[in-house]
Amino acid sequence: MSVAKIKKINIIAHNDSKKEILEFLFDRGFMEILPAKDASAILVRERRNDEATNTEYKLSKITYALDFLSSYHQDTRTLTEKINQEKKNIYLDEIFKLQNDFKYFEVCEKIEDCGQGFNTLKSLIIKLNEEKKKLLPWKNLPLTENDIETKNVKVVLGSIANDKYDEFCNKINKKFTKINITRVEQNDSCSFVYIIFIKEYERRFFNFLNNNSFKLIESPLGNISVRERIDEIDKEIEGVETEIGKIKSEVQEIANKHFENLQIIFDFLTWQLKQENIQENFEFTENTFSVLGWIKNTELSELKKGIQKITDFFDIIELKIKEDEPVPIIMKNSKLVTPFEFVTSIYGFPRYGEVDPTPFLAGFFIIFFGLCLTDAGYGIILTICSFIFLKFFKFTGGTKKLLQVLFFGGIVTFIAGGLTGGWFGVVLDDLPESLAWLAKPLIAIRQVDPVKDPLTILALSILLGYIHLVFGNFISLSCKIKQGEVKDGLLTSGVWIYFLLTIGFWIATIKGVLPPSVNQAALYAVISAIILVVLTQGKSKNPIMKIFGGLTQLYFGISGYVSDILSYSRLLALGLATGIIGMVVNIVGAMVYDKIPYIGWLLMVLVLIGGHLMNLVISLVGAFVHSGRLQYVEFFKTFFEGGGRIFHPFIRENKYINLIKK
Amino acid sequence: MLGLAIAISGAALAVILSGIGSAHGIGTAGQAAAGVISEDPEKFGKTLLLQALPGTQGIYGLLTAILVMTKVGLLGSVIMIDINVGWQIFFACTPIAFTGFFSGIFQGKVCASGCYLLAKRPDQVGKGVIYAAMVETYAVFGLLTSLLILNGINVG
Repeated sequence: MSVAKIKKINIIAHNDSKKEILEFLFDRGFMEILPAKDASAILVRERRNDEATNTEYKLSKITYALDFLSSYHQDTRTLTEKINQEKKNIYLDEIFKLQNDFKYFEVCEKIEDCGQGFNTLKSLIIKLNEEKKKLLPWKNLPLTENDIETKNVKVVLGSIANDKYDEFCNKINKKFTKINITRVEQNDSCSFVYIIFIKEYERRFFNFLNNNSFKLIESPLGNISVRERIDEIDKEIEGVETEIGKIKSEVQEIANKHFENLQIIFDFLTWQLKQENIQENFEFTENTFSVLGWIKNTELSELKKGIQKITDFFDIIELKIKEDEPVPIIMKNSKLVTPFEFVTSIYGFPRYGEVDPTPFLAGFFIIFFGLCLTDAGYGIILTICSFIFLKFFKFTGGTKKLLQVLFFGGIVTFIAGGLTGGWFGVVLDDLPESLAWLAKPLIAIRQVDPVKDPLTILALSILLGYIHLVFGNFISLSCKIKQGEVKDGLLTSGVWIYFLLTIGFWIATIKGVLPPSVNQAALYAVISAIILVVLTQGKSKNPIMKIFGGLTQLYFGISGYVSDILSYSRLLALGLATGIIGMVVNIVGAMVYDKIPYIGWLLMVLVLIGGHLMNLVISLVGAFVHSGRLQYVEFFKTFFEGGGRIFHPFIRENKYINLIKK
Repeated sequence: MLGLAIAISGAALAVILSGIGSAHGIGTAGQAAAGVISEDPEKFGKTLLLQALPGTQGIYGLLTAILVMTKVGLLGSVIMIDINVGWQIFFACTPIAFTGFFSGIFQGKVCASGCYLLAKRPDQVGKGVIYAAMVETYAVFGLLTSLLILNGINVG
């Protein structure tokens, strides 16, 4: 069994030691804490305290501060360190000390002030720039506010399209006397003009403007001339910018000094919040508290010892696990098999008490994977690439496991490719004489050529499928025997194992693998197996119905196993596909080299690299997915259901720091 | 000559039908993928994987066609094949042509649903990929049949 044994426990202790016990559990992280369900009359759950709300408030302030400072913080880490997301190493007591000494709340408030100052100044600059934009067309206007209207004369400002300007001037001079129109600025599409006119004909004049697509512009004039105002604005903007610069350098200073400390405090507060929130699941009386949770069997004694060191007033009760309780699971596999937990996790985790399929599928998965690729060249590339990634980057969790699976897969692919003569899709027999030194040993290693002799690989695929399914039934049988359901196991998996084995035996004699003298015996064995299936597989009590049911089960069994086993023929198809696509890439490469003068060789290199890379990626996805499917659909059907829930320990989680223990 | 023409039309059919299937499937999956990206651009890698899955059918078709071409010597010196052999090659191409066509389209739909799955439950995307692989199975079988039949045909 590679699912660890788990116990449900209840810790009851005195309230005085609550903090220490909580800290101890948090530090070790070996418990998953459950919400207290059956609260009896005496036990009252403590309400969510103000502390948690307070911590959340502080956290939000720090989040804002870190966000604000992040653009000022110079990350001194190297590229690989960044990719690995390396964190600052720090001891726990250093954090506690920092938390006491560092007035982080004040720093946060200061940053908030700076942020607000920034916003005010920035909006001021926007306002000034907008005013400047309005003024710019009029920068040559020699007037001020007071000149707009005198006793007899008035001025209007406006714009008119360039192509209409001349016509407009002509018209205006014809229609009105004593009028002056001056152009002060011209851009790509229109001219900005001011017109001085006499108030007498004001109404007529405005009608004229309306009818001649003249766009009136409200006067932006103030008590000083436009040019002077623009200079003034420029000066103001400059002033505001120095102000912003001052704040920036102030913020920069804070960032240099406190950024990393704030990150540490952020993690510290997250822990604190987690500790405060978890208490919602506790039950309290006046003097005691009670916690429910899951713990690994092997860690129970350590828990007891740990709490004993803190207090004498406690008790740990082991609770009985109810049948339908969703017990969390912890997978426990050897180092070699652990990467394949990734394959299992795609389907789902085993339920508690169910067998973990990971060690059983590992070998088959990797062989299937290799057969789907069957190219030694690709195998080498895959192995080297995944090795480099594993060596130089510290991936964790699923990505790391995936890379490890690919590493092993690469090795198996290399072997499978060597045995089938797949080397970057090159047809070994067609290699020129000059390369005979290379081709000869490779041909010698080659045991079978899948293109010329696909039936051998097909037979191998189907044989692997047969072994896979028989093996699955054996696992099912052994699990049932372990659980004490010997009769049930023998009557289901046992019967089918016998059935499959006799069929295998029979086919082996027909194919001449076994001597024909045992042919008769094999035939009798198969007949006995068929009779056994018919007699045992019917579920009905009525004997006639039972036999009828047995016949139906026989039909479903045979058709099911035949289709399952045939499904493994995909191994041949995918392997062939990889090889032939590689071959096509080579053919195209050679064509490019022959047909295109001068740069043919360069294009050939590009075609070869690009083509093989594409083939590798596509075949890789196919190989992984289809090897997985053979596990999930064909193999798991025989013994595995899944649907388990992974264990979530109550433990410190760090975003920015790496806690080191003494 | 007619035999060769029939064989070529078989190869063409394999590429055309399975190519249409793949193109349709990739199109469907791509639309869904773009929708997911609009919400969360970081999922690009995974959506790309889901979008690429229905692409294999087209490749299988191409593969079959190339095999036909090598068989009748179109890539080197052409072999004048009998009309019967031509028909044999033609029919050998039909399994991958039709399974590629339909499984490409349906795989695209499953992949599109996989994209929605990715949007809602990113941790479960592996299962979406497996569902898509279930559809591909039949194109793989089509390819296998075509390859085995082609392998058995004697061009003489």
